[in-house]
Amino acid sequence: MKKKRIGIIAGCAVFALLLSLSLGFLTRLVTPASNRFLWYTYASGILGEEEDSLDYVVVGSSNATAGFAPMAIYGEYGCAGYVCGETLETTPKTYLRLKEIFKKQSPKYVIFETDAFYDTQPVSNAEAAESYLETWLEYVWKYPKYHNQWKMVDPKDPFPDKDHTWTHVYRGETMNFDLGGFGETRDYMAYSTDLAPMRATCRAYFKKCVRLCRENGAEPVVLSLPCAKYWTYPRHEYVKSLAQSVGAEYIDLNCYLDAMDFDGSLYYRDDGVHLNSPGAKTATLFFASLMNEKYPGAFGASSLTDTGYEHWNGDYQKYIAEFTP
Amino acid sequence: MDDLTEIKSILDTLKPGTVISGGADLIKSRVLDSFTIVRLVAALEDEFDVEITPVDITEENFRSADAIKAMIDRLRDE
Amino acid sequence: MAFDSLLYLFAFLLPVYAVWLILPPARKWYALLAGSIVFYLISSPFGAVAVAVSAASVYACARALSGLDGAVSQAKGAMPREDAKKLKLSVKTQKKYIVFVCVLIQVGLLLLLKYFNFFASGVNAAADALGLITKLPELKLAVPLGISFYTLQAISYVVDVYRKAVTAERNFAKLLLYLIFFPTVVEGPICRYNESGAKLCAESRFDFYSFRDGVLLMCWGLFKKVVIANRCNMLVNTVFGDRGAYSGLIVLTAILAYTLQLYADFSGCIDIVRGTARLFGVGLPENFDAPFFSRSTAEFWRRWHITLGTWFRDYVFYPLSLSKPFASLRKKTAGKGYYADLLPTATAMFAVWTLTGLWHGASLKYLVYGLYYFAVMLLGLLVEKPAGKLVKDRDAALWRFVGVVRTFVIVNIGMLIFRADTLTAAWQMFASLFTPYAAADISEALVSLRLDSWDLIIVAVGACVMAVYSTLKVSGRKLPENGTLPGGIARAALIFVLIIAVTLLGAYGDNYDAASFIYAGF
Repeated sequence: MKKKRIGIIAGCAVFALLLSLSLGFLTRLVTPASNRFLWYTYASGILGEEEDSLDYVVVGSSNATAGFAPMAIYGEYGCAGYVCGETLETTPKTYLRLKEIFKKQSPKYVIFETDAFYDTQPVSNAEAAESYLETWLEYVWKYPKYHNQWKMVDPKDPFPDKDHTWTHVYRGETMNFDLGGFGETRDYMAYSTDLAPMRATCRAYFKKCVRLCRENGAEPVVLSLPCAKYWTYPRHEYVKSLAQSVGAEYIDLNCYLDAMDFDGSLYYRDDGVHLNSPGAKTATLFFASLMNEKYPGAFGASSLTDTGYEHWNGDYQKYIAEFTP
Repeated sequence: MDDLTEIKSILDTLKPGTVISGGADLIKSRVLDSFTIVRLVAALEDEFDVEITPVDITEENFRSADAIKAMIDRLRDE
Repeated sequence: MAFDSLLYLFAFLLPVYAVWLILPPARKWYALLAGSIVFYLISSPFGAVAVAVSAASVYACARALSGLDGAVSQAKGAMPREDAKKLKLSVKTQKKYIVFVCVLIQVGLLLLLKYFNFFASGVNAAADALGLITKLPELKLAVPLGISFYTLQAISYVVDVYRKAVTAERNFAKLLLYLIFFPTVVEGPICRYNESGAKLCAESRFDFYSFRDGVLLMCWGLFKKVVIANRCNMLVNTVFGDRGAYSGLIVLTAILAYTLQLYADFSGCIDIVRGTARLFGVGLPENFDAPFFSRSTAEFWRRWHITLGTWFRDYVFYPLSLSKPFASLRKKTAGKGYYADLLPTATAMFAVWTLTGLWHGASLKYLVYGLYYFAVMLLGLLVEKPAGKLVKDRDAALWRFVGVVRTFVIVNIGMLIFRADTLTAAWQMFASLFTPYAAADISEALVSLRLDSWDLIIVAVGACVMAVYSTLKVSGRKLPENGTLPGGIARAALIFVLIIAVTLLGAYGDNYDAASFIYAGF
């Protein structure tokens, strides 16, 4: 029987070897060469930006990519930045993303949009654990993330060279001029003494992000864009104390709606979740002006590199053109 | 007539022309499905004056006419 | 946790298997029990109380029944004949009472936790009609995981003890494992104690061939679920969610896709379940046997969700049909013709299908689903005799083909009822099948359904692979799970191919997850 046992072990070893080789080959095959397809929507454009050319980076979920307008800041202050986020993103994923971003960029500020701090839909513990495992897997093995890219492989050139030069014209913002018809007048920021705690893993990963930022010379800032559907005072209170505990500035635009002249019926693209581009412009410029008040020069003209920002100017013209009907 | 022939004639009334021998498999050939079994059981209870309960309705007991006869004999003895 | 999730496969199953390997042969089942308890608490922490009550009541009642039987057999030798007979009768009544109460508890828990709101809405509607004001509240109760499944297993156990087909289990832990064994508690198969229950706790050892075959079954199940079912899901969700927008051809495609999806998903999950059990050396019953080769609806329900059908047959249909009221009904209708003869059977069938329909879900739609199949099968019974006269050779290829096609159509209509949001929706979609089909719609629809041509090809090829497998099964060829395929190399090759297929072609991750699906259009 010993012969049989050796046979089985040898067979398993051969199987494992063949499987590893095949999966390794497939990983190489499906991993995209262009940075355009590495992350969802426009987020991976940040990897195509010139080294050390960004003054700030905004990270978060689709709220951030809908509601933050880097080109507006560039036009107003000459300050270069990128908004980098995926739908339904939460902080464990943000941590992975920041690790990649810091390889090529040295921003002064990393701005965390708080929609990524909370689950949009209620998720069970099992679902949250699954999502966490998926994020972790994405970091250690690219194959499951990109497996679907086999459809894009060109049979004539299956292993093209790495090409990380693609960048998004609006620096991550998804332009949209829809009017969601949001007309609710209820006060969603009604005062309350409750606290809405974050999921433990999200909180832990936020703190990891903060540490990572400081290690890379970036100052963390926490920002809440207007979000009538999901933001509440308990969440505001909790995030405020969390930001205090890590020594980060917290700006909640939901408290400045009057100061901004924020009209929900004009500025939401849907039913109170995502801003449209005019709303994004208003919110972003107000945020930048607030930051400049508190920290003079926070959003000032970019001085990190000497290379010209001609392509930024060109893109800014395209941004302005979007607003003319 | 003897028991086995009686059983076969009952089966023949329910499913004409299907039962040939005492050993023929009734389950695999789909002669007996749950509807037929119920009517068969009623007829068997009447004819042989035994009580057949759901626990007796197993593949082994109804596999063939011979198996049915064996089950009836057993139930009679109890 | 889902059976195709990383959480189940790597964070749960691996540690449980590791513990199982380490334990000595007679105690390996402790790992299964511990794993099952952890699985249950993660998935349904509040439901654990309900399970405990079910398990405890069934355990106690079964022991009581056993005790009574023991008393009777002891008394047989010790008492005079007359007294022994009296004791036997009184014990019989007591046993009936105990079983009745026990089943009542199980059914009561099920009705309360799963069906309360359904009944409440019915009662409220009636109260409205009568002009009464007081209404029953809608309770927000946590439905325990697998309550529809473990309740049936619990009832089958106590009834089997009553029928003396099974001896009462003295070890509560073993009974608990039978009820909440983690592979079966979510979606079945619904096991009988004398088949699987005892096997779960039996002494067992690691066997490489069981391990390999378990992995193969799991890979095959994952292939069906992740590659085929999850892909169909997007198309099905879109069309069923916005039924007004699609023409007849798209609706037809969606119905067929749903049938494929449900079959691939359900049978895929069952394969993962059976494969998991095989890893531990436990054999579980089959739940699917090439159902779409059925020639009649009755046959379909003997090949689809097999363990559910046999449960209703053994614990509802036979007991009803052989009970005294039915026996006297049969005596009244005997000799009054073929159709009168069918009345007792039809009544029992009605009960079975009402319950089967409602078992699937707590709403009117599911009741109609059950009654739909009752009507179809009753029709089948009614025309059986005239059909027998018209068609001489029912086994001829032509009639077999007609039967298969007819059954397929009937089943798909049933699937439409099952999947549609409401009965009205089902009717609307059914009606839309007859609206003109516009060719231009189709390519637009496909784009909006976010499926590209590759997806369609993969679904088609996947369906063909499944069909080939079923054909092999039906023709009696030996398959990995029920026979010996030539050599371990063939099986290893299959596992290899399936792993590649699942990881490469699986409909998971970006492009296929709910998030990207809902927030499409950026």
